[in-house]
This record gives sequence, C-alpha cells and structure tokens, in this order.
Amino acid sequence: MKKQTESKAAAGAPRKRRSQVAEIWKRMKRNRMAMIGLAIISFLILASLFAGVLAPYGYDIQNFKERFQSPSASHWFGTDNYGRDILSRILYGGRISLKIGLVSTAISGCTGIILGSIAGFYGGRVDNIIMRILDVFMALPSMLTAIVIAAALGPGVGNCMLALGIATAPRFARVVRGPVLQLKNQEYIEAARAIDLNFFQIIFSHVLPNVLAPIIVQATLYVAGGITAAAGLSFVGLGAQPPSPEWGAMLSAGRAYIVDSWWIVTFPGIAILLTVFSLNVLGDGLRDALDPKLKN
Amino acid sequence: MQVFKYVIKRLLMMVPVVLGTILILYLMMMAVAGDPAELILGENASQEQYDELREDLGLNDPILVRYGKYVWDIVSKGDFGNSWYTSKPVAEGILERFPTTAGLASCGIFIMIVIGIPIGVISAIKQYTWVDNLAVSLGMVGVSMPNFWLGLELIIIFALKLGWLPASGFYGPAYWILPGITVGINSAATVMRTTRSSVLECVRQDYVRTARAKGQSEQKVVVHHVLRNALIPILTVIGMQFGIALGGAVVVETIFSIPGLGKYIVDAIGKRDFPIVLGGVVLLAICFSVVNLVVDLLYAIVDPRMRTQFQGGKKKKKEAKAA
Amino acid sequence: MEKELLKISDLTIQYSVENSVCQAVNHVDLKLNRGETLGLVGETGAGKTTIALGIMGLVPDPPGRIVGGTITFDGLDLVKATKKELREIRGKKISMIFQDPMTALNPIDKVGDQIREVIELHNKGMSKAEAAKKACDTLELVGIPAERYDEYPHQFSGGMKQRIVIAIALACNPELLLADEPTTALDVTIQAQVLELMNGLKRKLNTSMLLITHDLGVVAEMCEKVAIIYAGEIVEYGEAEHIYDRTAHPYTEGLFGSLPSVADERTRLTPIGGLMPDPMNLPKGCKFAPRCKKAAEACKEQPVPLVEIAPGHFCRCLFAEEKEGRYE
Repeated sequence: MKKQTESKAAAGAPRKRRSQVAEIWKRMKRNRMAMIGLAIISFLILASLFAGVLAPYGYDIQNFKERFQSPSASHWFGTDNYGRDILSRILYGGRISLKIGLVSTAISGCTGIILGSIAGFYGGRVDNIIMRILDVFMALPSMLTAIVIAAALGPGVGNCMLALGIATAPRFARVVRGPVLQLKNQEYIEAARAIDLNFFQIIFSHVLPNVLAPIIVQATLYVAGGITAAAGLSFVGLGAQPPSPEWGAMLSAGRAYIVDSWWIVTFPGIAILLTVFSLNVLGDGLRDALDPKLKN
Repeated sequence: MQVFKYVIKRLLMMVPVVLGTILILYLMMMAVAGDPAELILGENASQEQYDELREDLGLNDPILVRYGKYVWDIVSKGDFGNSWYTSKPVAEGILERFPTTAGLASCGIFIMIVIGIPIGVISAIKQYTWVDNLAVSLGMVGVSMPNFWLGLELIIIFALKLGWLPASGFYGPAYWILPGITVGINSAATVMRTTRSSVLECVRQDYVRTARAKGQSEQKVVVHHVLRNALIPILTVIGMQFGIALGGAVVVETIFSIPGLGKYIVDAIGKRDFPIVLGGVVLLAICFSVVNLVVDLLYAIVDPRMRTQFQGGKKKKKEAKAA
Repeated sequence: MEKELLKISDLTIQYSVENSVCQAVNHVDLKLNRGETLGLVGETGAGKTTIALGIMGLVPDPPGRIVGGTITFDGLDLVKATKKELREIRGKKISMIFQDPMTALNPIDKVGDQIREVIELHNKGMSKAEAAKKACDTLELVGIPAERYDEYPHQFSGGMKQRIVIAIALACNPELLLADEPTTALDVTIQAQVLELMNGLKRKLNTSMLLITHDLGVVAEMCEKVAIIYAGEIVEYGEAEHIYDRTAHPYTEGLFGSLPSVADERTRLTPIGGLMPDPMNLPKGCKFAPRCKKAAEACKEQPVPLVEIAPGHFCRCLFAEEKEGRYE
C-alpha cells in the first residue's frame, strides 16, 4: 500500500503546477467549512490592516471619564481601565498577533525545513545527530520550551516570536524529514544526483515541491498555534508588554477587573478564538484538498 | 521479563535526552542570568561578602563544571540547588508543589478521555448526520480555544455571575472543577477529533466486515473490533496531550491562583530566580519522558505487532523474514 | 426444486454518491443448488462482490442499498429478513471468504480467538474451552498446526492467512460459501494449494459455493455452472461446458480471447478494447455494445433481454440465437 502511494507521488511529481493549483482550489471550494475559515481570516486580516481607517478611536487614547464602560453604541466592545476603546485596540492588536503567528511560523518553518531536509537527505550519522539534538528539544512540551526560552531571552514581541519559532522548529523538522527520507530513494532524485546537482538544487527544485503539501498544512496550523501560544506567553508576562494591544496582553491586563467588567477579557479572547478557529479550519480544508486520500 | 528488559532499555535511552535537555536549559539560563551573587546580595554588600558568595555558589568554575556539579547533585542527593532569593532548597519547593500540578494535569486527562473518546466514537458512527456535524464543529472550536481565556470566562460565568463554584485557590474538590475543565478542554477536543478519524478509518477495514460476516452483533463489532484497533493512534495523542496538559497547567495555575509547580515557575521567572525555573522545568521534562514511556508500553498491550520491540533484534528479523 | 438452495431474482443494488447513482447490480437472476459450485466471472467493478455482499446483507449502507428483487435462501427472503435473522444466518449458514487475506483478519486478536468468535456466536451454550478446542480442530483442518492458536495475524504469511480466513468461514459448516476472489492476492503456487484445499473441504462438508473470480482458469477447475457478469448484468449463464465450449456472448468470447492458452500456441493475446461503461451513466441498450465488434444499431436502442438459447444456457445478446445451430 505504501509503495503504491509512493509511486503515485512520484508519478504525480512532474505534473504542471498551475493545473494542480486550480484543481486544489476547486476541491477547496467544495468544502464549506474551509471557505468559511478563509472568509473569516481574510476579514480579520483586512480589518487589522485597515485598523487605522476602521477603528473608531486610537488604540492608546486614554479617557478617564469613560473608564469601564460596558458595550454600547459609542464603544461596541466597551472600554478598559484606562478608558481605551476595546474594539480599536483589538483591531490594532490584530496586526501584532497575526505578525507573531506569521513570523514565528516562518522562523520555525525555515529552521525546520533546513534541518529536516538535511537529516532526511543525508541520512545515516548526520540524520542521527540532528534528530537526537531535536529529541532533546522535544523532551519538553513546546509551550514549556517556549516559556523557558522566552524567560531566558526576556519579555518582548521579538523574543516571543523567536522563542515560539525555536520551540516548534523540531516538530516542523520531523514533518519534513519523513517525506524527504522517502523521496530520496526515488529514481528521479537519483537521476538528479547522477547529473551532479548539489544538495540545494536537489532539495529546492526536486524534493521540496513534492513535500509542499504537508508543509503548507503544517504552516497554517502553526500560525494558529503561534497566535494562541503568543497570547499565552503575554498572559504570563513573557510576550508583548502593556500597553501593547496584543490580544494576550489585553487579556492579561484585563484579568484584574473581571469581577465587574467581563468585556475587557471577553472580546480579545473571542478575537483569538476566531482567528485560530478560522486558521485551523482552513488548514484542515487545505489538507483534505491537497491530499484527498486522507479525507474521511 | 522481556518487558522488564525493555523498560530498563528505554529508561537508559532517556538518560542522554534528559541530560541534554538539562544542559541546554542550564546554558540558556546561566548565560542570561547575569551575576546571581549581585542579584542575591543587592547593591549594599561589601566586596568580601560578594567574593565569599561567589565562591560558595561555585560561580568561579567554568560553566560546564558547574553543569556537571548541578547534575551530580541532582543524581546523588536529589539536590536542585537553592533559590537565589529565599535560599531555600529548590527540591523541597518543587516536590511540595508537584503533586498539585500532577493532579491538575490528571484532572485534565480525565476530562479529555471521558469527553473526547465517547463523543469521537458517536460522531464517527453517526457520520453524515447532524450529530456528527455538531461534534465536528464543537471539536474545532474546542481545539481553537485558548485555555487561559476559557479559564477566565469560566470564572466570570460560574464563579462570579452564577456563584456556583469558587474562583480561585485550591482547598477542596470544588476547587478542582473549573481548572480541570480549563486544562482538559483543548485536549478533549483533540482526542475527540483523533478518535473520530481513527474510528472512521477502522470502520472501513476489511476485518470489521469479516466480523460482521461472522454474524457478530453491531455493538460488539464496534467495541471489540473497531474501538480496540482505533485506540492505537488515540493512545499516541493522549500521551502527547499529557505534555500539553502539563504546559497548560503552568498557565492555568496562574489564572486560578493554584499553588502548583506551574505558578511556582512563572513567579520565579518574574523574579529571575533561575534555580527554581530550572529545577521545575527539569522535573516536568522527566515527567513528560516517563509518560511517553508509559504510552509506549500501553501500545504494546493493545497492539501485538508492537510487542516485537520487546524481543531481541535477531528474533525480530527472523519474524520479518517469515512474514 | 428441493435441491435449490439459493435463488436470486431481479436483484438490483445501487450506490448513491453525492448526487449521482451508481448502478452496481442490475436485475440479476441466479440459482444455486445444494452441493453445487457456481462461478461468477467478470472484470473488476462488474458488481461481483456487491452481489455477494447483498447475499450476506452487508452492502455498506450508506451509500449502498438493495433497491429491488429477492434473495431466497432456504425459503427465506434475505432482502426482507430482519437484522437478527441475518445475524443468525451469517457465519453459520452462509459465510464469506474475502479477497484480501492481508486485511481480512483483525491484527490485534489471536488467530485462534478469531475462529473461536464465530463458533461461540453460533453455538450458544458451548463453553469457552469447547469452542477453543473446536477452533483448534478447524485450524488443523485447513492445515495449520493447532499450536499456532495463540499467534497473531502478522506472524503468518499471506497463504496461511487465507487458510485462517477459510477456517473462519468453514468453522460452522455453512451450507453456502461465498468466495470472493479467494486466490487473487496470493502467489501462483499458493493459489493452487488454496483452491485444492477449498475444493476438498467443500466436498467433505457438502457445501454449495459461489466462487467470484476473474480467472477463467480457476472457474474451469472448480465450477459446475458459470455466470458471466458485465456492468452489473448477467450476460451469459449456464453449465460450465456451455460457457466453455459453446460460448454465445461476444463478451465471454472476449474473455477467452484475452486468456493465454498452451494448446493454441497463440503468440498474441486479443484483449477486449475499451473500458467498462461508467456505472453512473450506463448505456441504454446493450451495455457491452460500445466495445462489441458485432454491435448493430438495434443493440443500442433498448435493453437486451436474457434469453434461454438452449436448455439451461442463457445469453443476453441479440445475435446469440443465430448461433443456436451449433447445438445440433
């Protein structure tokens, strides 16, 4: 069975890219959940990009007369302990949260892809050494690794992205290594070696395009995971620091006031939930569209 | 006997991984910690006091020697060093708090299994019905829910608005409910999704058809043939989720002011009291590795194909040839 | 009439996939007497397995459904039978050998227990030990030492696994055995062994058998009667000699043409051109017409009936009767 799928993957390799994308898009369009996810995430991205136009107030405008306002027509999501408009802060905060998700995934993806393909491609001792080192990193749940790295690096958005990237890179490497290991014995890779292409040429033009599907799916899910984890780090005081409108930082700051002002923590939380939900749904849909064999 | 040997082998294999983890953590912490002697003494100490303390803490040795000493103290005396602030032994502090965190994580695991597996099975069996659609959607929401936010919302609803349950502290069974749910809900959703797809996968298998062809009742087919086979991937996920529950407990303890290991670590991070952070995380890493070992052993109980790893390499090869 | 064990008439089974309907089995009539072996021959996807599953009451629902017709087994209509009645028949009176022995066994149960399961189910009141003893006997019957009772499927080779599948099927001395390509997944040398074993056991237990295959060689060895099925329809049906020596349907001819023969010393096989029609969208007239060399306009206009061209020899072809002369 495995052999069959392998040879199928190999046979499908040189097919034209454009028609493949069209085919995947066609399959995606049939998946209602995935399309909802795509719509929500597009909406959220646009909303945070145009926060400057859309937000009714500035994200750091304090108004002491209007502290702890519950949701109303003038402040849809209410105001916080400084009288700042929560809706505006969420819109601006989306930029930070999305950026953290994307950048941390990019860090984790690049590191993971490089390590994973080296390990898978060279195999043997190289593979062993790399994977054992990664095992060490994976001896901890990734959230704990991220907390520890962030603790060492110190708080801040940049460090937070780096910590998340490093913490998840080993898992990314694993995702890439498996297929690379399988692919490297395919005839067409051997042919590429025979004509003396170097490691990077083979990896980038012949191997990676064929493991793109799991990478894309993984990356989508990691952006979602990154946003949650970043919010978690901010929540324990290791990520973005107040007065930053990063969603986790808003939650953390609003925690003290939940007795009377539930809205201060509720709306940023919903924003995280929506973003992560839509990315997860999208990732699932992508996986089904990219590999219909896996679908139930 | 073979099982025993296998466990020993796996425990030995764990050693380098744990040592590596400690090394990386140690280097990372110590590289950024600054000068602990200065931190401990504050600004008004004399040079002599300072030098004495540095000597006491062994700070004049090269870092690898200090790492060696640190590990040796743990192995030989169970000594994780002392807090830089209170000078109390770290081992005492973390061991005192560990049961609370382990209990909280177990609570989460319990909720994850009790909610995740049954709903997953029902959802798979009722595929294409509204029950399945609902379960799948809820599962997706559950997976996407940040647990610290869920914790806050649960406090707002059940403790503050309805007044049914206590909001914070850790004094009796009622105090476990909200934190337990908070830790468990993501994992329950993940386990539900895995269970569903695993059951769907197994339902299609030929051996299930064979069982039906024997005249077996539908209930027994599901429990005996489908579920037992479906359990194999579910076990892996449960193992992984235990780690995630431990990580989650760290954050959740902060929300509910639970005096566990997680809160201890987070508070120590705030004060940059690195011996505590290091000790706590090392304990969690060991714990995580042990859980993974247990999962692998459970694997072998459920799946006879895995039992071959208990046997020596030679025998395994022989069997592979026979097959 | 007393000899008759199984009678299928007008059986129609459909699969609904999204918005289209796949007509897997169309108005099939079959008869099987006690102790007899009927070969059901056709290409992959012709609906052979679906017929067997229909008899077992195991057509996967959804998406599959028996739309019409009757399956009379020993006086009982299996299409209308309750689930409970079916469960009592399955494994006891009718059992099935599946195509792929690699996947037909539960990987996490001991093989002996998998045989014991069916024995216990159909012998209420039998003790566990007795059932296990009987399972051991059954293992021995198919040529596997009883000591291997406690081993798991992954410890057996493909041929051995198929023996276990056969043991499960025969454990309760069924009256009817449905064998769905029992040898397709096996090596050629093992194939002969397994067929030999099945033939011997069948004779010993006086079991009737429906042998599903696409291998006409196997049919010649095992079957008294043969039904050729194409796109869910029986196109030719009769005694084995009728089919082999007085082939009437062009499709059957095509099947023989694509078979290598030692006697003829043909150097080249003549495959049937084209593919089976899409079961979602079957042609209105003769289903084989698009691939048939003899097809005329009349073939494509309306469904061709199954006609008895000689006593006991049925054929679904407008030109079959012309050949009737060859019987004389």
